[in-house]
Amino acid sequence: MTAWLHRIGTAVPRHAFTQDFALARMKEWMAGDPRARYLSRLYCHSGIEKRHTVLAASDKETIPLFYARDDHGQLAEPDTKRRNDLFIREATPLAIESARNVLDEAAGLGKHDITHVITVSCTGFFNPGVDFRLIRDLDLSPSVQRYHLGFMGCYAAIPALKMAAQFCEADPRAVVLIQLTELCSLHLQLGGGMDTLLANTLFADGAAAAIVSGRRPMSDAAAIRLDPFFSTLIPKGESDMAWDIGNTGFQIALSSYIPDIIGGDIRTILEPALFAAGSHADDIDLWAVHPGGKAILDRVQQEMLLEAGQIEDAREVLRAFGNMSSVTIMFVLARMLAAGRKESARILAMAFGPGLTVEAGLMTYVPAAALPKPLPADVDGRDSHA
Amino acid sequence: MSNSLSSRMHFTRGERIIAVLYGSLCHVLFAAGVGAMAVGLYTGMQIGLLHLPHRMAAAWNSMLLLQFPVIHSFLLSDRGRGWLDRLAPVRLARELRTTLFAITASLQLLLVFLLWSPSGHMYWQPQGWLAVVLTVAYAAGWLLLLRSMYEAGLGVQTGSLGWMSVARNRRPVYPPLARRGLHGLVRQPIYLSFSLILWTAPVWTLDRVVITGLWTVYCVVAPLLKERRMHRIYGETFRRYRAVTPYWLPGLNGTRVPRRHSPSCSGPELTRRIVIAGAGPVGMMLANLLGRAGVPCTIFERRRDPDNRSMAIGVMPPSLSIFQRFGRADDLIARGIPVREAHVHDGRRHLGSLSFRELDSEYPFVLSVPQHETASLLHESLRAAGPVTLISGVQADICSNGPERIVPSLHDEQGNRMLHEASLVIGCDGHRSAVRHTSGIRMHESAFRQRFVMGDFPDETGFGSDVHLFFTESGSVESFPLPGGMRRWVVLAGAAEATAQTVCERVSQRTGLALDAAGAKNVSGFGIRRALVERYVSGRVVLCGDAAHVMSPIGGQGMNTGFGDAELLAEVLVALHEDRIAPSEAFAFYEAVRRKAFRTAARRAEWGMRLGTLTGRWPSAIRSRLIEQCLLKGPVEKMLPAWFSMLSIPRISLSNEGAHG
Repeated sequence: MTAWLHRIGTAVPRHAFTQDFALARMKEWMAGDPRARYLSRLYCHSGIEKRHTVLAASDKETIPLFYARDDHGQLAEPDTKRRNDLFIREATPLAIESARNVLDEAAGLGKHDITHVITVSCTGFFNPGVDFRLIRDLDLSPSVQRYHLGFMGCYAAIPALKMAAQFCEADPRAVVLIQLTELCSLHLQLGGGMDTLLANTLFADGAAAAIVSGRRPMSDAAAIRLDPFFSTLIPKGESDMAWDIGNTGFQIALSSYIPDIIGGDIRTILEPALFAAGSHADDIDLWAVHPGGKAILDRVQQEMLLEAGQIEDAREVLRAFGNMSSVTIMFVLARMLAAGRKESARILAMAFGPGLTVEAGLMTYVPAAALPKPLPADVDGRDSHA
Repeated sequence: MSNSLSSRMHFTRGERIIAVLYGSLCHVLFAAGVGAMAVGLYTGMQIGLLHLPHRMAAAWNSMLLLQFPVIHSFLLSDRGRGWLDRLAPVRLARELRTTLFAITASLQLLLVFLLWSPSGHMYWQPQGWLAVVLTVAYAAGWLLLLRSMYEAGLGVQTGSLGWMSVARNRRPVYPPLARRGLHGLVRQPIYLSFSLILWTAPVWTLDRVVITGLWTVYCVVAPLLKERRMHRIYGETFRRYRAVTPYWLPGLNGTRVPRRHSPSCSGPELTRRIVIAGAGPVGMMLANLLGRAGVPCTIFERRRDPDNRSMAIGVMPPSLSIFQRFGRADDLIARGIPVREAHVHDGRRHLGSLSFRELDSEYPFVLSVPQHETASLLHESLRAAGPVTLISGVQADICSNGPERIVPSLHDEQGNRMLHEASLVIGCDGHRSAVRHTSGIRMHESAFRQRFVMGDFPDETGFGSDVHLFFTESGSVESFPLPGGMRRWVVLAGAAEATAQTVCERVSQRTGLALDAAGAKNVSGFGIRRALVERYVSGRVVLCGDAAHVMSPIGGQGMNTGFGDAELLAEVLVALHEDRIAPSEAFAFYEAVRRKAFRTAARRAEWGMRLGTLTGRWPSAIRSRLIEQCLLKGPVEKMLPAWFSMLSIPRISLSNEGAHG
């Protein structure tokens, strides 16, 4: 049974800020801190132009943020509860918007067709959560099966796709809605070491939704076929990336060696895995690498000898949206799906996270013209199911 | 403000004559009213046609004095305007409002000063030097009044705006909120100078005391009503103006911002975060030049997708050498057609030719290339330009601006904001510049009567890469080569509709050539305007290209003048970035040089257009002679190519190397 990634919908908060703006604010907040001298270099070489954030939602002229100074001129650092409260308020509308963008009655992927919902997030918790609100606000069936992948980190989109593909394998009539929401900017930190300094340059907010189903795609739009997935660990990077909960927001460990660790091992990881899947690195047309940062893309491109165009979608997403954690790779895949390529293309999607975990999936972009034609029986089958 | 193309109206001949009559009446009454007031006040109200007994005189004079403020204020209210509108034919009332208002006000003044009944009580009459001093102060009061009226828009104040708009067949365009000059000192300089006049007239009689007292109160109170109206009309702009400018007396309430002053910080500080508003050819040219010099900048462009309309097509040799600064002149030339010859005809024969072959330039031709090609080349070269960021779908307005700090408001069409720091904003956002508008820089504008229609047609003429100009007695036709086997035709079209049919008819009538209307593209009509900003630089806003000036597109010099602006501005900004020049000096230099360049280019464009659009048998015959015998022959012929290709406009640079090709 083949699982298809039919559609991807994306959403970002209304307001955005440029990297220049972030740098200026950070310099202001860190005035007097000896580490402030690294700021310009970090921000100017981030490969990011702008990022979206829920923190600018008020109508004030400048970013309100929680780092306003109090009456004594001290920076007030909000606690985890205040940050999570913001998550509760802002996550749902964004999640709903992304999911609305992906439901499509005409293509037989409407609200009544959904059988499973998988929600993904590592930047906030509440229950009844986003999964419940999706069912309530989008009027999905209450009997929909719900699963949440929480706190996994940047790679969580791939396990979610893998899980959806397995549901489709088990139940040919399954139509899985995957919804990812990450509000990373809520966990902005001023204390801490170079890790947080680096993280502050990268992370942003966004949401994405996708529909995965074993049904044949309607032949008026391109789709992505999900092929074998694989995961592995690079244990030497265990201390280089971590994510845990502190009193003033979630706290990250993110060393600047990660690109080197990934770059050094990527060939030895990928080659056997691709071989096992009957493929080879040279067969991959498009590299949907999670743009964790500019250096990671640079190292992957360099180690795998990629042409600029093969990894351009990831760079463009990084440039225009920054690192939105697990959501980011869905933006990359959405770009590939929307580019209007006339030929099929082999995609390797790959993301990294704490562990150091490497999650990857082979996929195939199939243009509308090359999709298998739906048989009349298929249509009937679906109707009777609905 | 409003676009002059859409502001055209159609009045009948009769209506326009009526408007002129109203206008004449208005100006005669205005002159008489102002004259009577000047003399009446100066003499202490001792002159008057009536001589009533004491009690009667007091009542009568008070009535005269009160009717002026009462009626004047009433007519400015909504109901008053309704009354005013009844004084003119229905179809004209709205347009003639300013004229009607001036007529009634002048009549009221005349009434006061002619029908005054003097009391004869003299308190004090200065003698000797005191009389001279007061007379001078009185005259100064009148001059200040004149100046304030000029700033607020003489057309509105004297009533000429109304009748002249009707006579010219267009909608009256009200001037923007005056905020500079005297209006920068106080918000109500008209009322202030009016009271100054009331108080400085030398002769103090009883009558004079009464009139001075009553009308001074009026001068202080009346503007409160006026400001309510201004708040309604100008909204946020007025609120901001009100916040920094005192109401009536200079120095009272309101915090004065020294607007005229250039930024107070150093050059490197000022150029740290340059924002360019608008990714048109001029904005992208500036970004290319800045980026290559290592000066970081961010461009915000309102449109999400490239603008594919084809407007300017001529790229002149000086502009090509700017492209060559980053090595892209040849790429641009490859996308266009080099024009080396221009031929001039009248309806019957060939009058002569103009050759660009001998131009003293590396590029001895004028390049014809559609504007979107120029723009896309500039866009491509941005990638290699260094620290330049282009963000589309975001419009830049100015939220607050001053020498200390600028806060742009960056947002998309849905009002979603983009937060960004700026130290300086360069407005390259075209003739309807939002940056100019929201930073309150005024533009002086005039419109010409000529109207043209243009269109691009498949080229079946065999004219090759040459330009052909036809100056005939029924109007002009201009024909330019375009890449891809097309040709652009521009015809003088009067009030005719902007259709391919119009172009075909005019071309066939004036040249005998047949065009195929079916293959036409880019058909559009345009009128001719000339506009120049009051200032190129204000606080931390700098204007560049069409945002600062508009000139006749006939002659193709608008975009090229914009490129010239960008070239010099880039040089100035780089010098600021490297701390080689002070901001005040840098901007004064930029403005002086580019203002002059604009005037020269605009004058030539207009001169050429006027000559080309003369119609009628005799003017046309004289023109043909002039072109044939004087312009395309002898010494002038040698100068003309450099003139048309803008090579003779000095390209003064900071290092003062002067003109170079």
